[in-house]
Amino acid sequence: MNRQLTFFATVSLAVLCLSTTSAYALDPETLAAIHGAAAIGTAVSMGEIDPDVARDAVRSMKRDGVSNTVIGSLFKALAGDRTERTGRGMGSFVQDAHARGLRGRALADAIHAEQARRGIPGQVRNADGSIVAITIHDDHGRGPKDKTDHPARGHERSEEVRQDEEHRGRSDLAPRGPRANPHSVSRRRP
Amino acid sequence: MNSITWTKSPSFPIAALMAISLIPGCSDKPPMDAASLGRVAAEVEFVSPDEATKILSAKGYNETEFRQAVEEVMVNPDSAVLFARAYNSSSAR
Repeated sequence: MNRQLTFFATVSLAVLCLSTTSAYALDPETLAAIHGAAAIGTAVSMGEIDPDVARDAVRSMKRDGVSNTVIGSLFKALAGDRTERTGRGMGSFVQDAHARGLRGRALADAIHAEQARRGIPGQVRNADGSIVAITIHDDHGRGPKDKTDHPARGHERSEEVRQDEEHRGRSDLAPRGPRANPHSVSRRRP
Repeated sequence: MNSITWTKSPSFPIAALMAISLIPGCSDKPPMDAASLGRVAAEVEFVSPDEATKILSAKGYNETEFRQAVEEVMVNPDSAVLFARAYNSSSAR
């Protein structure tokens, strides 16, 4: 009887864990591709990076096997230039690095090293120092439960930034709202 | 009737075309444009796995095909701009 109860409790716990940890329906790489494509489009449309440089950078990174997660996080820093004090000028850095001939994984590593130097948090590295992934949620691993409990809530753009975007007529391109940039790095200012 | 004579029959090309059209992936589904992909991405992001599968299959995709289509968008900045605009506006709703 006790064994049956233990078995039932274990199975229930496993089901409960699965149901609370899988907030997203899609595979993480699919999600990363979605967020990466959105971040690339946003960075390009905001004029943070030249489209040809963006195309070449992404193609070379994909060729080197850089994951969607890393590519997405890299471009998210660019797309967040207007809200991240630490991210300002990252577009210029990427273009300079590209002009210096950096491509693929070397380019990704250089950009992430620069992000680390500027204090953009959350990088996970291999023992050899190469980037594994960027921890993107600022929720201590809880993950979002549903549309009303999203970790990006409270990360909306400041009034000053929003007005700046409206003035530029680009606010329709900027990520906004609680679901706009769920994999964005922390928006806390230093 | 052996196979050689069957392949010479007038109904063979029609039967072959019908068979090919039944193979998933060879069907004549129009590929989604970048804006549509962005809207669908926002739609499937937070739904249940079953619902996501249902939405994607209604558009003629499985998850792998969908990811590949989005990855194509990633390497094309013009498409990525359209994708981002649709994704961000659909997400904000």
